[in-house]
Amino acid sequence: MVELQTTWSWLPAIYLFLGGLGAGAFLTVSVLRLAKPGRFKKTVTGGVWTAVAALAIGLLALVSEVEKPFQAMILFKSFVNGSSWMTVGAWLLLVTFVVFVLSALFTTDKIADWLGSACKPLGRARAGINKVLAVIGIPLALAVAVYTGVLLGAAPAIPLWGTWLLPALFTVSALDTGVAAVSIFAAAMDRDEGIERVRATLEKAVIGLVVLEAVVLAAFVLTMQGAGADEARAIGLLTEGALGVQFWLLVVAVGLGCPLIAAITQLVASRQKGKVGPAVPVGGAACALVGGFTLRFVVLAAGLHAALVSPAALQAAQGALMLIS
Amino acid sequence: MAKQYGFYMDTERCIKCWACEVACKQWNGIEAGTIARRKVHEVESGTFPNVTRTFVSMSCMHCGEPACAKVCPAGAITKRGEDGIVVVDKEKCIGCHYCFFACPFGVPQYTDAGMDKCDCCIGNGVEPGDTPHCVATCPTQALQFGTMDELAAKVGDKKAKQMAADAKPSVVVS
Repeated sequence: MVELQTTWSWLPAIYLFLGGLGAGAFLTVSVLRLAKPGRFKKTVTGGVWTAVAALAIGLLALVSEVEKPFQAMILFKSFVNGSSWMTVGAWLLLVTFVVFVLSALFTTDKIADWLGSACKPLGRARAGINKVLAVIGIPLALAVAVYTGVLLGAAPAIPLWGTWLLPALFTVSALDTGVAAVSIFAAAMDRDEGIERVRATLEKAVIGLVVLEAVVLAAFVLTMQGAGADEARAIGLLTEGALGVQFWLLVVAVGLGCPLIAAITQLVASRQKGKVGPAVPVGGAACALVGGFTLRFVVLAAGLHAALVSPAALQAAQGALMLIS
Repeated sequence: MAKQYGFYMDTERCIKCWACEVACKQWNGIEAGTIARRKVHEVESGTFPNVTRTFVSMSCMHCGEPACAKVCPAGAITKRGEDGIVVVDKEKCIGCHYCFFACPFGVPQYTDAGMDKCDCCIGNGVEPGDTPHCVATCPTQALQFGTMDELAAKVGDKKAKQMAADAKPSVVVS
């Protein structure tokens, strides 16, 4: 039996999921905020704080994975090698987190009012600041979402991760889970005028993203099946091996199928002037989150090391390339 | 080209006595039951009744272009210019495990102090370029050490091959 990859296990999977979720949620509410300034406060506030919390917990998970967490937190000492994607990512995450936190502070009425009374110019410029933070935050959030996949893709010894389809897959999943998280607030808490249209737009976005994610996921699986023996063995863990149940049930059925059905149900119901309770969108979004986490977990677990799949010794004795004499 | 030290593994001579592994652990003060910088692998080939077993002792390959050093965020892994030995600065290492996923041979291992791997014994007092303890202790001279040119001369007309990977490992196997 092939052993699963355990050097990076639960904690990095939690980070890859929450980093993507935070990025996706921030992106979604920023677009909403730029499109309809000053409206849908509950959805926007909920989404921004979700982004902050997700990124904070994700970063904690990431930092607790390393052997020396406290040393790792001294960024200017521990992330200095510019040729490493992890260095780029660490600084990107720092900047993004600061922007997310600032945006959350200026979004929350009580905090923003207090800031405004403490420093008058801040209070007057609040709307402008929020807009600027949204505009800066969108590309940063997108970069964080892509980086979760690039981090794995830049590890050359793991055959399963060596494709640009992985950053693509994680990015689409990040948007998908982000929209899902925001739609929970829109469905369960927000009662503003016009929220129906926002809900419908979010549901349409869910449909589009789920279909896109299914296409990218299928492309990823098919590419890996045809890429070589090591890649095929690793992807086999998902499609028929030790991770088969998690993959087909939680990633595909729960993570893609349920949100799609929930979104279609709501669109059909609203066309026929019918009403569905908030349980349907909230349930669909919860399923998307479960699928998003499981996707990161199974991709990590199936990331078999090339040398351990076909041992270094075997390669030494049989597969060497350069003849010395 | 600057000097590059490396290992030569003569599989015809290896009797799988593990002396290299033991010497490595002893001299480098590696706690029992934890990691091993050098490991003796066994490769089976053929089908019964024509089966052969080959023994290969492997550690860090001190690659020409080390993939581990490229991905290390802390800059804790360096390739020494004077002898090509790849070393880890454990003070700088944060233990993120990224190098394990970059190394084509899965060499990096981890302790609380950080990443741990072969440094050709320069960490325990052997002069760079002098014989490391694994090689000195090998009773059959299956494991040898030297510059890549010296190793090529030792290999002579045997069918030896340099380990293959994009990172250009400094290990020859025959």
